[in-house]
Amino acid sequence: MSSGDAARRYLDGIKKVLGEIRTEESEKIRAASSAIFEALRFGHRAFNVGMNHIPPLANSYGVRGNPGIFLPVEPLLNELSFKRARAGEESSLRGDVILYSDQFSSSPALEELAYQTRQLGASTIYVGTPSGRHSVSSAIPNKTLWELCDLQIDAHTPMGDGLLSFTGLDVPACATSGVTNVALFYALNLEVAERISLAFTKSGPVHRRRKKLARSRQATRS
Amino acid sequence: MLGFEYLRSLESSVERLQAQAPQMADAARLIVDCAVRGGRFYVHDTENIVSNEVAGRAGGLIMLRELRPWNIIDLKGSENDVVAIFMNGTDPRGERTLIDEVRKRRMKVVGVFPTSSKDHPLHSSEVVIDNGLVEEGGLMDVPGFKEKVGPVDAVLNSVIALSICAEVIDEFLRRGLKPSVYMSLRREGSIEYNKKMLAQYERQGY
Repeated sequence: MSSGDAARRYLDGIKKVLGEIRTEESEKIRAASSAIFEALRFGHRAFNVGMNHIPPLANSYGVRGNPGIFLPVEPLLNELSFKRARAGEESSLRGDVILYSDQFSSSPALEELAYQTRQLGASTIYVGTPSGRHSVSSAIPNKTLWELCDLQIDAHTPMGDGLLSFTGLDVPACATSGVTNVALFYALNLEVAERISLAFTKSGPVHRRRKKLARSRQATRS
Repeated sequence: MLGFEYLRSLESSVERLQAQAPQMADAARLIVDCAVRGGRFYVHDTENIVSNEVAGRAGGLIMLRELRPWNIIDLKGSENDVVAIFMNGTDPRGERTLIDEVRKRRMKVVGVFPTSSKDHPLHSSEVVIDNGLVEEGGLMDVPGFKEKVGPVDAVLNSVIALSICAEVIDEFLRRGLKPSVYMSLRREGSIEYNKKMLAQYERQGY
C-alpha cells in the first residue's frame, strides 16, 4: 500500500527545480528586473505575454497579489494592430519591455509576436526552457523564443514536461512548467517592486533630508 | 532580494506539504477505487487555475476533467465519481452551492483547503488535505504598494494536484493497471502516441 512515496518524489523534485532556478538563474533574474525597472522609470511600459496552462490565469492583471507592473497582452495587440494599419510610422514600442513565457521555446504564436515586437524596438525577455522543434513548426524559420529574445531565464523544465518516471509507464509524468513559470513571474514582479520601492525612498523627502544633513555636516567639518 | 525570498518561501511551503503525502495517497486510492468501477475524476477550483494546470496536459492523466459550476447542471454524477475541490481562505462563499450539488449526486470529495478553518464545509470530505492557505493574496509587503505582492496559492494548489496525480499513477501501476497519460506534443511521435492513449482511455475509462 502506498504511503505517499510518489507524492514525496514529486514534492522533492519540484522543490529541487525551484532551488535550481533561484541559484542558477539569479543573475538573469537580476538583469531582467533591472531592465524592466529602468524601462518603467523612463516612462516606458512592461507587458506580460504568457502561454502554457496556469500562467495566463495565475499571472493575470488584477489577480490579488499581482502589483500590476506588467500590462496584459491586449493593449500590446491593440497597438500592433494600430501600427499595422498605419505602417511606416516610427515604432511606439521603443524602450518597452515584453516578457514572454511558454513551456518550451518552440512556440509558434509567440515567436512571431516576439519577432515583430523586437523589430519595433522593444526589449524582449523569455521565461521558459530551450527546446528543439520536434513536432511543432515554427513561424520564424530557424529561430525559437530562446534565440529571438534579448534575455532568457531558464525554467529548468524536464524533457516532455514530466518530472517523474514510473516503471510501466512509457512517458514521464507530472509537469513542472506551469508552477515554475508562475513562480518566476512573481519573483520578477517582487524584484522590480523592490527596486521601485527603494527608488521612492532615495528620491523621497526622507532621502533629501538625509542628503541635506550630510552636506551641512561636511560644510561644518570643512 | 524579495524575489529570491519569495522563491525560498515557496520551497519551504513545498517542503511543508510533505506532511500531507499520506492524505494524497488516500486520495489516490479513493480515485483509483472509483475509476476501476467506472467512475470519473474531476478537479474544481473557483478560478479554474488548478484545474487548467492538470487537465488535458503533457504528462497528465487523460481521465482528469475540469468541473466548472455550469458543468454540474447536467451532470448526473454517481457514487463512483470523485471531485477534488481546491479552496483558499476561510470563507467558502458561493462554493457551498457547488459542494451541496456534488453531494446531492453522491459524488465523493477530496477537499483541499486550510483545515484550520473550523466550520468549513469541506471538513466532511472523504479525504481532507491541508493546503495551509488561510490568507489570500500576496505574500510580501513592499513599501509603496498597497497590497502584499506575490501570491502562492496557484503554485501550491497546483503542486498538491500534481502530487495527487503522481499518487494516482503509482496506485494504478501498483494494481497492475496502466493509466492513460498524455505525451508532450513537443516530442517526436506524440500525435500517434496520444491517439493510442485516447483509445486506451476510451476502452478502460482511465
